[in-house]
Amino acid sequence: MPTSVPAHIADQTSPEDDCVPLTELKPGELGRVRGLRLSEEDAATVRAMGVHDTCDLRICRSARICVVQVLGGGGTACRIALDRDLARDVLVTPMTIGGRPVDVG
Amino acid sequence: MSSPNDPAVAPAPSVARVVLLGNPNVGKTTWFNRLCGERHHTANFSGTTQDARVGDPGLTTPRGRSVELVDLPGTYALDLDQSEATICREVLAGTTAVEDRAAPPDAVVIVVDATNLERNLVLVGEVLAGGHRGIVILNMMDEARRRGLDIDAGRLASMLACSVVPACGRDGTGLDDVRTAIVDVLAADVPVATATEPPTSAPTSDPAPSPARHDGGVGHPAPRIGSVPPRPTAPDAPSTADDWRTWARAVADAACTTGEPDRAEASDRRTDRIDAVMLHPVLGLLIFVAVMTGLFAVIFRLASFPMDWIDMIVGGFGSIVASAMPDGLLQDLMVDGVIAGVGATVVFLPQICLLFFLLSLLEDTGYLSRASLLVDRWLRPFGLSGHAFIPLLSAHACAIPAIAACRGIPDARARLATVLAAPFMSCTARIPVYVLLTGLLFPDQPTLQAVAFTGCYVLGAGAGLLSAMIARRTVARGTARRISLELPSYRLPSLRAALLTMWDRGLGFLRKAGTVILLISIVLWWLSAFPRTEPPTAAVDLRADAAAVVEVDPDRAAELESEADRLESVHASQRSALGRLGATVQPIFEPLGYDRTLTVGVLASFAAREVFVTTMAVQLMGEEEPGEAQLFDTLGSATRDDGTTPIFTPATSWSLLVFYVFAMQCLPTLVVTAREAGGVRWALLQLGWMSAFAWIGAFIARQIALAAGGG
Repeated sequence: MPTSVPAHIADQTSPEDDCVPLTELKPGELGRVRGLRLSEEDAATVRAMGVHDTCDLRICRSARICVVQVLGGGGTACRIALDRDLARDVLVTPMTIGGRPVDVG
Repeated sequence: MSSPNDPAVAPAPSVARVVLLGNPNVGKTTWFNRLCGERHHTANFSGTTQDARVGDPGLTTPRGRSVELVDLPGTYALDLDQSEATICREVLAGTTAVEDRAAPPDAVVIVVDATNLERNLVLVGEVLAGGHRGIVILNMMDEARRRGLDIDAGRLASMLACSVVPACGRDGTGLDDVRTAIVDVLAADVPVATATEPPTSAPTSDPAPSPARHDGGVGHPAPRIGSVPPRPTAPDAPSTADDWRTWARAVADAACTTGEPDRAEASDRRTDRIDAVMLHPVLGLLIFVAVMTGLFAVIFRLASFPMDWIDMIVGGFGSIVASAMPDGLLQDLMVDGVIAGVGATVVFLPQICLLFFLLSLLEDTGYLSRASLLVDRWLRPFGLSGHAFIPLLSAHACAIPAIAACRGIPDARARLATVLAAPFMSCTARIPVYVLLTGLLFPDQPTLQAVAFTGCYVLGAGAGLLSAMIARRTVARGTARRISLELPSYRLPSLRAALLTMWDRGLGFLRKAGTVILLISIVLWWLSAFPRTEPPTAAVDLRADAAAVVEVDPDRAAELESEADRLESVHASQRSALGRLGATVQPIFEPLGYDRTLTVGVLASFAAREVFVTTMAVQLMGEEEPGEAQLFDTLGSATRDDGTTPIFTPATSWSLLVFYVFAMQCLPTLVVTAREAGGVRWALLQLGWMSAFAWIGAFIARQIALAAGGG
């Protein structure tokens, strides 16, 4: 369960056209944000909290409220809770090794 | 281009202003309290409703200027379209005044969460790029070390070209270094950067040689790093939000490494496990109910002791003043107006202090954010989100701070709906009325009294949520915004921070009691005391009878005097301005079963609902501080002016109880609503809506009670 994504994993993210909603990732899996399909207001709020394009996330909980860990530079991190409807509009590419999702949970 | 700190542009005033800035939940308030302690007061950012805390850190610059510290609202970034960010931008630019002084600050202290460096650095970069002298407090170093993070504060200082102090606000580590850094940075003659010269755009440039490595943290007082930073040059300075994020990531990567990744993993797993329980749809809800029940049980049980003491002190003080002053208008004003009026409000101080103390402890543990998420599901059908939870919870102590807490709700329309709904929650001022009426409805049946009492809380909360739902479909149209919330780490709460919060809130409440409520008390006293009337003949006769028998039967004489007092009081009340107003307005309340006496009670308590009990006691007993048993006996058997019909029939008591659950009856709350919602029209809407709701609810309650044979 790294607090930042190791280079050998980060280099193997799926192509951008393989984007899936954040809600499709399971707890423990890692993903890289590729786009926010949100209203301007919601996008500004989640970006300000650290969820922005190209940031890496670890899924901590995937339920009605999704909890993600935003993995920052130097191993620093923070935890953000997102309504499931909101999380569905956050597009990520799952981080994979050999076609299998990276699970660090 | 001149920088905000250019001495040629802004001649140095006698006080150097330092502002405290940071992301939400980074421990900014803890640092303000550490630096200023109790030496602070509350002002306003001019042209806004936002409170500005201005403190004295007890520092002096080498040139002899004293230093003032201004606590700015928490914001993630300066370019956000939020009121907090706007205030920060304007204060930094010197276009918004604090205490009538609008000038760019002499220095900016930026509190940064060491465990979340990348996001916090965006704000640091924006501030330093603005040309401000900055000091970075690398807070929560204890947690960073627990997570196995290794932060090179020296390298960070050289990359940012400003002082960086590793610290921990919770135990005060780094406090002396922060104080020294503030004085040092204020001693500098030149600003560290200019508006055209932001901090280094990439860590690789590393403009100054990195000082020795300092880890800081608990148990290792951190040396101060970087006294007067060099002027940075950066041709490829960040300009967009994305640029700033890229820059922040590069700086965080260069300054911080995960020395012991196992520790971070263990910490994350622990948080995941606790969250799995706290956010569980069943277990989490059970814990939530238990925590809230415990919270209110502690508040009501513990607060009852100091409340009794305050009650006793106020009563005793009133007696002393009454005996020390000659009979007359001034004595009446002091005893019946000022002391009784303000005392009736101040008695709730313990409950308010306890609520904020416990809320601060809970917030510090990280639980309240989780509770907001749990409640989000239940609030959404009413057009609110989990953000409304803390204001609505606080409203059970007092609507005034609750309405102020609505600023934390990001959606402006949901914020307005919450402001309009909050006063429906049963605040502590309603308690005396609930106690009186449930006692009259169920004499000697404590279980039924408790059920009715709890029912009042449920009814109030239901009415508030219904009102919010209606507001969200009319005046504050919109659906509940999907919640997004930062979840702070779980940690042990800080007793010191909770005590300071309690002190702050308690002082604020007392300030209101000493101003708005004092004024209301005097006006009400005047209305109920004038015009002065001669005592009724019956009272004069009773006093004569008492004088005749006082030698042979002193007890009988005392009884006669007491009855004469009651008659005089009722007579004066009937003929006072308030009594006449009551008689005029009474037809409006007739369908609710209220006679003239009850109407006067309702009118007198228009500005502060707790005054109802006092007014009824004065009208029917001629005493303001009767014993509890005597109060219930007298009120229970009191009759209307016809001398036969009871005033408090079961139907009337139910009607009154429902009326007080719903009615606004609190002038200070209306004042705060007008301020926070952005206009008197919202306060008038709130008053009209709650009054109409109360009247209709009370009417329905009476009809049901009558149908059930409670006439």
